[in-house]
Amino acid sequence: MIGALELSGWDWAFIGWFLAVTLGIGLYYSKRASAGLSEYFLSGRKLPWWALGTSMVATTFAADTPIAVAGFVVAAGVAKNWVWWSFLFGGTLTVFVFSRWWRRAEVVTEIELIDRRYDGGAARALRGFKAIYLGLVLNAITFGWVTNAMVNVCEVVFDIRPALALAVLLALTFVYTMLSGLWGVVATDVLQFAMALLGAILLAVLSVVEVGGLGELVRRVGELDPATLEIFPTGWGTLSMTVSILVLVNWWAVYYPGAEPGGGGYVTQRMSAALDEDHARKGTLWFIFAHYAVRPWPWIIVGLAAIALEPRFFEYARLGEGVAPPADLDEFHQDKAYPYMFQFLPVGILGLVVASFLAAFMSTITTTLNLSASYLVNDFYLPFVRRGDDERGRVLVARVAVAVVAAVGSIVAWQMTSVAAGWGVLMQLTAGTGPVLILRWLWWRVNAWSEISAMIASAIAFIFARVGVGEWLAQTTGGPKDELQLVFIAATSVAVWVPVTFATQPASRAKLRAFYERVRPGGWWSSVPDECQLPRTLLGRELRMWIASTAMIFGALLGLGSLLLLDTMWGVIWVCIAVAGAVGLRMGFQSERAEREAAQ
Amino acid sequence: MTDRTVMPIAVGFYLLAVPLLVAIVISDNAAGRWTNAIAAAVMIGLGVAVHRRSGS
Repeated sequence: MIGALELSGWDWAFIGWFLAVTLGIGLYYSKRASAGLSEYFLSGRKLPWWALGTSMVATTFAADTPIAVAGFVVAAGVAKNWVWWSFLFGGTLTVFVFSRWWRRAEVVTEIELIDRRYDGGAARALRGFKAIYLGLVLNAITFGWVTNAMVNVCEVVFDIRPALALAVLLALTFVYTMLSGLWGVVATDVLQFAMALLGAILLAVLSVVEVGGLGELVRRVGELDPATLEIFPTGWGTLSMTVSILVLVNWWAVYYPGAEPGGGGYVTQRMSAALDEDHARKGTLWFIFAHYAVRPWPWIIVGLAAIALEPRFFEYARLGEGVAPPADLDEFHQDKAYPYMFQFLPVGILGLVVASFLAAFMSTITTTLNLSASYLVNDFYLPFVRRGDDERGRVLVARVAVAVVAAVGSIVAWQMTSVAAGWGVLMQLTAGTGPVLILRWLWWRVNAWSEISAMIASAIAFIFARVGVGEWLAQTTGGPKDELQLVFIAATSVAVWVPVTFATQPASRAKLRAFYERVRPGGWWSSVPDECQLPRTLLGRELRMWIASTAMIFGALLGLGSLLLLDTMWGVIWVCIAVAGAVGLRMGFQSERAEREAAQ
Repeated sequence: MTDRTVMPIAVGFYLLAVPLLVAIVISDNAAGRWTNAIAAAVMIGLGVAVHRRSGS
């Protein structure tokens, strides 16, 4: 079987050693985590930028992500990666506009912002609903998705029955997550990301060496299909339309974990746990940079090397949808391209790479458990159920919540035959909620009913999209159905929640003043800043830094890629854009520093 | 960060370098030796970087 590994005793020893070290570090933090909920869910708000940023990158990819990205390259070329690169605009917007506001809001979870921003019965109901929806439903599906991905990795990479291996891994991960709180999660995330990235880079280097160098790699793949090497989609085909829609809509419309419009989920949790707002911003910037510019190229290069060494991967991927592969291609599905290259790894490094898959799995699971428990405890138990317990009692409740989420997630993983399908449904269900999540920071008029109506409208539009509107749009325009559905849902949601906002009462002036005094957001705040006797926050510099950072990261991502694919001219151009963005960003930071010094 | 809270991360990097250092010795080819050496050096380097940030 392709990619099925024969691990040496020393590789197994490395894997065992890695698991023991991870468990030991997790347990080290258990005493500290017992001090209170702030320690358990927010590390006492003492996370340095490098730890919180690295923890976010570690969380954002699961065990099958390298396999999926290499598979994209095999199936549709490098440009297919725009389906996730399109989220970059939203990521940098979160860094330069929202990260400081999140830290100033001093919330434990993103849901708690509802309590900071709105008042009344609708706000209370919204908070309770989102606590259960995000804490149990969405994160249980995430848990199931990540676990199912690990099952696939076990089958594809190890050729073993995954039940026992997964049970051991889940038990170990559950124990240290439950005991150690966010410090344990973050500390192990840092180790796990370093291993995962190092393993991927070494695999990419050895793969290129095996092919005979980058020149040979580009030559061989180019002979099969030059379009595979293109970083941007060529022509006006389905991929081009998909990418265009995603770049224009995805980043502000879709509530995707790790790329929530305006920040949310574990990104908000890490920003809230930062030492201060500067650490929150710097850490989130490091996360976005590492996520987009650093991480993908080793996986892409491995995918290209697999095609160069074994063109049958390419032939299989071009068979067309629904066409059964002939016997000689049966083993060459795109998902096997990444593990195919493991055969070229030496003893020791093979153990490290295999352990890095376990690391990717564990880092996502630990955050999912801790984050879900934070929703259930902070946004459901404390406001709706609590009966006079002390801090240590609350930590016990948090640990029970971790166990509940792990149990529900395990059942989901066990029962769902197609988690990917369920995941897609959930993503589209809330595809139109992004604008309201952004504008609640910027516009005083947004209220709890805005969020509620946006969610309901998204769900109803989703149903219409599924029963025929999506198909009709695809046939009428000739565009990609899923992405057109996304546009339809987002537009419908906006068309509903904006009128609802005007038809309902805004939050009380006292609530708006308290929010403004605490967060000092920019945007349209009517007379609230004057009532607070505070200056209005201008966003010009933040928006310039957003543009500069986006240019810097896209420049680094595409410049590195172009140089690796030996397109020197575009490589140099993109690197120049990256440098220009970095200079613009530096000017922004200097301007901020000068302003602070003048104020002192 | 100037307290010792992050020290276990540094220790973790040092510990993960140990099997890679041993693998340099037991590797039977040059590629195995140099890749394990690079990986071990990276782990130790990251350990030192975190160690220095721990203020120890």
